[in-house]
Amino acid sequence: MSVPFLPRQSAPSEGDLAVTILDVGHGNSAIVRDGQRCAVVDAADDTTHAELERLGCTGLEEVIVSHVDNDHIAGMSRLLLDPRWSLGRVRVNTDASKDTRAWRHLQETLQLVADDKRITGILPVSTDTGLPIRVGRAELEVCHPRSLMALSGPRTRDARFGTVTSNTMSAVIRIHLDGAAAVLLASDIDGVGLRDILDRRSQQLRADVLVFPHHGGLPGAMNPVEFARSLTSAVEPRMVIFSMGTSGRTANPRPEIIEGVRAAAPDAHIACTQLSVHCHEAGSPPPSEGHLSKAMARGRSTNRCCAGSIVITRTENGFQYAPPLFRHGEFVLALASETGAGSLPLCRAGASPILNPAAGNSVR
Amino acid sequence: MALQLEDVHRVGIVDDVKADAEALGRLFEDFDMQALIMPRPRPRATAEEYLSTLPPLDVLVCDHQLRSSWTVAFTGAELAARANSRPHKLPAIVMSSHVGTREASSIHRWRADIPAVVPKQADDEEVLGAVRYALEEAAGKWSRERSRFRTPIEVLAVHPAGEAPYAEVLVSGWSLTQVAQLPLLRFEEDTGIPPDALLPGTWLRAEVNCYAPRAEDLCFAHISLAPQLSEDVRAL
Repeated sequence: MSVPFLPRQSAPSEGDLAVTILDVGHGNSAIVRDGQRCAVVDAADDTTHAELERLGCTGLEEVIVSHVDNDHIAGMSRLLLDPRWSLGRVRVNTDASKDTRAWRHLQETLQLVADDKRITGILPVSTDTGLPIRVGRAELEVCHPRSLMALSGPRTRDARFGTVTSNTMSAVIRIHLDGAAAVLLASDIDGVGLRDILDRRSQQLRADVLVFPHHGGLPGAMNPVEFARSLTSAVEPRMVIFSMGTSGRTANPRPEIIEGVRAAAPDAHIACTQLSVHCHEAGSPPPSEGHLSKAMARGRSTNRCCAGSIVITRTENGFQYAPPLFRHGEFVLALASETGAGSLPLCRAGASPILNPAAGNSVR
Repeated sequence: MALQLEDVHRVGIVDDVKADAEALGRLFEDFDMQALIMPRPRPRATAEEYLSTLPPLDVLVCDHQLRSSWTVAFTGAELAARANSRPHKLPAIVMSSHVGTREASSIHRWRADIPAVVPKQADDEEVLGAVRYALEEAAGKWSRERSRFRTPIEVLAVHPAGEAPYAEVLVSGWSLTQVAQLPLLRFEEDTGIPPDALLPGTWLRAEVNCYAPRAEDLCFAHISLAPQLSEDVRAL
């Protein structure tokens, strides 16, 4: 079965309607923009700032904090405090445990920018507050948590949900570009959170791109293969992104997760922002980076980009990706042959051939 | 337009060790600048008084520790800070043997008004780069690493004793994993609160250059106590 491709189009410009999934290493950050109108979801480090600067985005109409974990907010305070950016609303997923250092610093930051009248409002993030969130022709739909769970807060054992952690109630955001479901940002949602979404049959998750939760790590107590299969089935993505970093501590994405994704979406293109240790050893020669998009990427400085930062642009014919899927696919295959790993990288095992619409051929 | 060192003709050097002053002077002369070794200050003169006695200069380079052979009430860091913050700015940098040592905290108090501090062992490139920084700041062009904005600060520990008392702090806009040192004399000047009255767990606000690459490059200005969190923020 072949991967459907969009007709060839001219390269999208920086002024387009787009979502950028930034390579921030182990963490998450996304920029949603319609021309110069921007929203940011999470900021794990200064890559977000650098990309906003590169794009010339000076006004952040919406800033969303999916949950208060360092790998999602380590760059957030500086983003909010830096007067180079004018701010609109800040939406913060509650953290009822209220005892982490990161949370307290974020609170103090929000208080300061509110006192300085640099923001127009601070709102909680849940399925039934302040919808819809619009930034030009982009719409950000909060799919999770619903307010009932948000009010219960993390670190509780609730008869309705089970054990709720900070990850369980991390905000899941679906981004629509000009009415088309483009990207599902699944933050760090775990099995308990996913079950709560799927039980609400009215909540649609379908999107062209799934940014897989928890960087491809384990989803709490739920079987990881089943978790990945359930989520991927609900989203029906053309591309699955793992926003992860190369480090000795984590070995993401987990092979069980890839197995579940493949079971549900055999034709989906899988892309890691940085090279996984499953595919490329840190000491191996650095691969060529000619396929990368122009967007800033943390892995560039250490030659650890795989797909790097990924830009999903809405065009009149559908969605267009940078880097193009076939260029990334060719990079992965070349990487495997250069390192002589002997086995295919995780993302290519059992995958369909990658078509190059320009050349009219395909690579496996 | 970038400021050029060709615009610098007269460099004043303040150093109580004559041999060091002359060595530094030769560096600037190699780049076709006129190096003028500044005279010994009048005993107990203030930094402002001393500055008012200096001839017209384009740049001032100050050794930090001036008390080895002079009887002065100020350090090179204070002198440079006051030169940079006068209504008619005299771009000034500090050279010191104490960069990266405990004595560096006596520089820290004045760091907000010193564009660059370079070690005495620095090479020509580093010294000229520091001078360029000073010229640019005097012209109102602040580098990202030196640009300050308001940020919350959490006080972790207080060390009120010694010549340069300091607090260990976490700066929200800089890093939550690296501890920085906040000079308590600066805190006292800005808030009127004595250093030993500051308690761990207190939240402050200050203008800080949050893109500084290293903790020792951080500088603090307009320090104040943070107000209590509002009900709205607490309720999040």
